[in-house]
Amino acid sequence: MNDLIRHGDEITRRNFAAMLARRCLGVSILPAFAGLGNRAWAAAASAGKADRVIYLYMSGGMSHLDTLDPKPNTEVQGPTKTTKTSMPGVLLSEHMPGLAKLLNKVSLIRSMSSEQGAHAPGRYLAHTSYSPRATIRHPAMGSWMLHELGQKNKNIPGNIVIAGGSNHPGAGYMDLKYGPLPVGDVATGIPNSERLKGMTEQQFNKRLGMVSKFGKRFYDLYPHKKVKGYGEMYADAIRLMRSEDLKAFDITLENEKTREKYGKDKFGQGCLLARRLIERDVRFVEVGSGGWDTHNENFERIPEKVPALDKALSALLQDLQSRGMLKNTLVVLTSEFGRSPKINDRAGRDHHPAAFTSVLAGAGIKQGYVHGASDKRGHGVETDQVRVQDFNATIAAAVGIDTEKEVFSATRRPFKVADDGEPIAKALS
Amino acid sequence: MWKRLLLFGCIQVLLSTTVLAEHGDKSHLIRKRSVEIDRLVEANWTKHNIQPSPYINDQIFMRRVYLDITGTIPTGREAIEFINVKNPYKREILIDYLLDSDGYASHYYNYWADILRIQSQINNIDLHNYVFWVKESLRENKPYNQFVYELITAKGRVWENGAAGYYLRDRGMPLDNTANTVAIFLGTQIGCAQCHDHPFEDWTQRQFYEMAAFTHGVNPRGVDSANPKMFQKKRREITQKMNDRKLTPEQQRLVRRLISANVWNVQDLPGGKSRLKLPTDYQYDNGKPGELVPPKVIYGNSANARSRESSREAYARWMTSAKNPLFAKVIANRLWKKVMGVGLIEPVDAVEGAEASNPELLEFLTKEMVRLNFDMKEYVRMLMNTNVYQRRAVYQETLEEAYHFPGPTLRRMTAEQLWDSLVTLSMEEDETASYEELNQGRYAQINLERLSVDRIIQLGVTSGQRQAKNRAMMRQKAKNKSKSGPNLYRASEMRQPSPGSHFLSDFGQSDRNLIEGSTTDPNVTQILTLLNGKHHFQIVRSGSLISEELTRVKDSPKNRARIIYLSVLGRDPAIDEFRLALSLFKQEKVASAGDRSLVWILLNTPEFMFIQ
Repeated sequence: MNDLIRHGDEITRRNFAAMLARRCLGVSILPAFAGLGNRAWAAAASAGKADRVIYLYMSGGMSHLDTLDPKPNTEVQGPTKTTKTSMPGVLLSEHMPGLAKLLNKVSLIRSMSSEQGAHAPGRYLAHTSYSPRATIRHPAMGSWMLHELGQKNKNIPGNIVIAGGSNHPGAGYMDLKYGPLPVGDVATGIPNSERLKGMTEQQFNKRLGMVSKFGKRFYDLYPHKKVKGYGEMYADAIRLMRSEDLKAFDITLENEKTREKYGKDKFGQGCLLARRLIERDVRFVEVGSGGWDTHNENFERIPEKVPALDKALSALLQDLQSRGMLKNTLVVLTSEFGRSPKINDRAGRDHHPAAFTSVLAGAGIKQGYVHGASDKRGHGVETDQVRVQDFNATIAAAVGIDTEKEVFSATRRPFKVADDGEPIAKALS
Repeated sequence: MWKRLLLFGCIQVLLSTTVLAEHGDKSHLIRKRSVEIDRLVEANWTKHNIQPSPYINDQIFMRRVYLDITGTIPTGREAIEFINVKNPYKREILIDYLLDSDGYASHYYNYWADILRIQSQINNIDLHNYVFWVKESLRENKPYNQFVYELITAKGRVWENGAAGYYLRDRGMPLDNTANTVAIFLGTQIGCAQCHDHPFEDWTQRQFYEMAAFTHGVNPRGVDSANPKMFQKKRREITQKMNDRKLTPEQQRLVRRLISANVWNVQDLPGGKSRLKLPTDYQYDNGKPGELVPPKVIYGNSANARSRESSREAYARWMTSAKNPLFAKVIANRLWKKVMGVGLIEPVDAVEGAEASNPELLEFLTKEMVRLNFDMKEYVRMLMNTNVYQRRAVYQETLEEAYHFPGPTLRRMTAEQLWDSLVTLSMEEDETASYEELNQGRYAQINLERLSVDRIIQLGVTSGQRQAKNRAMMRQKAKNKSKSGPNLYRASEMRQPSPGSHFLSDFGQSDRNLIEGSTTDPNVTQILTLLNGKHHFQIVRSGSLISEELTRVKDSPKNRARIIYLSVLGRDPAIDEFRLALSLFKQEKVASAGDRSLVWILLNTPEFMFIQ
């Protein structure tokens, strides 16, 4: 019932927008795939292999030179050494031995570039494929997933952001229900999902029963959608509280060995939580990791941050594989930009949107593939430039979202999942 | 600081005969206008065959007017006082009283903060004084045209002139600022024309640029523009030196803040001249890429600058003029929506070229706005004294069909109204320092070009010491207070906007990125909060407002039920509800357990969240 109601809203609004667009622009909304270019066709062919995503976001700008795209024997490399990998001829930073072993399972996108060199707009672009505008807010990929693919497990929210900070674009112009549920602290899970201290289940149920009796007068007066919608949202909330799936949020249920394997730090445990949620059919889980803005003392920070990332990421990939979950799960590792090859006076690296590296792995993605390359110094893109929009279009293609489909904001403006991005056909399996 | 004015006994005094005699004349004038509004509304009922909604009783009215003016429910005591008074004019008097309370500025601040996308801080720019300025303008009931004029023409550092926050909020995006200004104050959507000729309306991209040219001469960084290279170098030296001297991150932050407070200084470029050029990819015949665009308004009389007037001032004068056909109309329609729930034209920022659902009414209201010299409080007073405002709220599903006001519409409380209502239930009055006060920063005005690097660092660090001392004092005060109860502030006194997973953002407070970005849509997080949130403990803890009242009537279950109903829902329980409450009480051995149970239940009924 609730779904029907909410769905109903959506259809009316979309129809309305489509009607307007037709009337004013003389266009009609094309059926899916009708107007795709060649490259998009190829991408569409592989569409739909993944139906859930774990999105690891390195906030602050992760140094590509000290992680995924080292330049040994050049003056830009600094003290960070390299290690051989499971792919002949491809090197990673010495701090990533775990991923080095698994590299033949993933796609490395070494020709990323962003048009935004400051954190806030860079993050916004990475999440939404659009530059921030004061007149509209765009939805992030998780909201697109829910909007296009629907919620798979109705007991728990389908879009969850762990340690994402407060400036997440969320649902943008889309309905609030597509927005992410924020989980600030892995240890506490969903806030307020447990009964008040001192209230027994019996008391809780009794009170709930009384709510409908005491609320009757108002319901009778206003037997309408929004009022009822609230009532039905109670059903969702209580289903969540009582759901077995709520256990997914409790990482203490994992054995100690597994928890150790991911790393006991916030990010490691966040990745473990992501795996637990994905296991319960959550569509999209983002895990944030801060502190990558290494303007100062880059080479002291890197040995602290990168091994933790490597540990969590390799544990996650292995765990997903051994559970057979890589068949339908896409794993993404990205950041707003890379860091400058030039080492500054404070042994730091500054913002560098001209070239950086991201990782794609799992369902829909080619294994053991390196796409594009940065130049000798890691300064610019040498081959096969991938803009942030193209990268996001690749994610969309891997999960089967039509990158040409237009969705209209309430202000009647048309938007696409990755703006004008084109999927990297070669990285799709 | 937000203080509740209506304390015990005030209403009685207010309703005494002397006050009433004075009240008579004024109310007579207002009533004449209100009657005319009702006549126009009712004419539309006949035309569209609308059945009006029934009148509401004093209790429903009281709760509505408290929420609509002060943004919170009344306390149980305020409710009883109002109910007990027998006076035919008591509704009008309550409206007057609440409009004069601090709650008005607090609630209307929240309303404008949503429209103006106010943030307390953006990167290193401290915008608290912008927050103050808007509140202060509402508190002193600054005429709306003056309010807007001061925003558009604002100059200086934000800690000297809060209105400067209007440009600092949008620093680096002057074109977006233009689009927003025109949407908010002129109800005209020209945003699309920023990048191409408007697809739905007649605006061309050239017109957009001409409009933007008025304010394009604004330079939000007045200081370092004269010699940017030198200044860049100086900043690098300061950073270097702070590192060399191993200043703590906190000290470095303070120095950067002091610099930022002095750098961000809204000024006009020399001569107030715009240097806006058409974009390099300009594609239309009426201009060449890169061509300089002279300022020109999109309609009406031209806004030529008078002598000594900057182009910005000319623009603001043109915009806020009583002769500008859209300016008064937009605010008349906007505040009508604020009071009645739906605008006569929707959306309220797309008024230009749109037909009102009741054109005669909107025309009358627009004239009234001008006649009242843009006095927003008077205008709201007039609307609230109409008969249509005293009718039962009507559920309105969508805006696809015109609404003809059989009554105001049913609304869910905004996030701020909900939060403030929970605060009202939790405590008598918030005396502790608010976040805003903790952060009220005054900065030394320094000459960044002339002062030495060392001196700037020194000033930054010492200014911070003073602030730190203040904060420590406030924290101690808050700590003392929290021994006796919770430490809560009204939404208007907290960081703007609230941080990510705060109650306010969960319930739909705008993240202040978009004009009126707030929402009242339900989500699961909200319900979990209503069911299991910590506020339940605060509301029923011993010493809370309700608990204090309840201890006085310990032995009477009937009175206990009444107090809880009046405190939470602002009304007396009906007979069947009395019965339910009493049977609920009987099931508990301890009286307080029954009380807690009833409070919890009522807070979870939809009636609590909605404004009838």
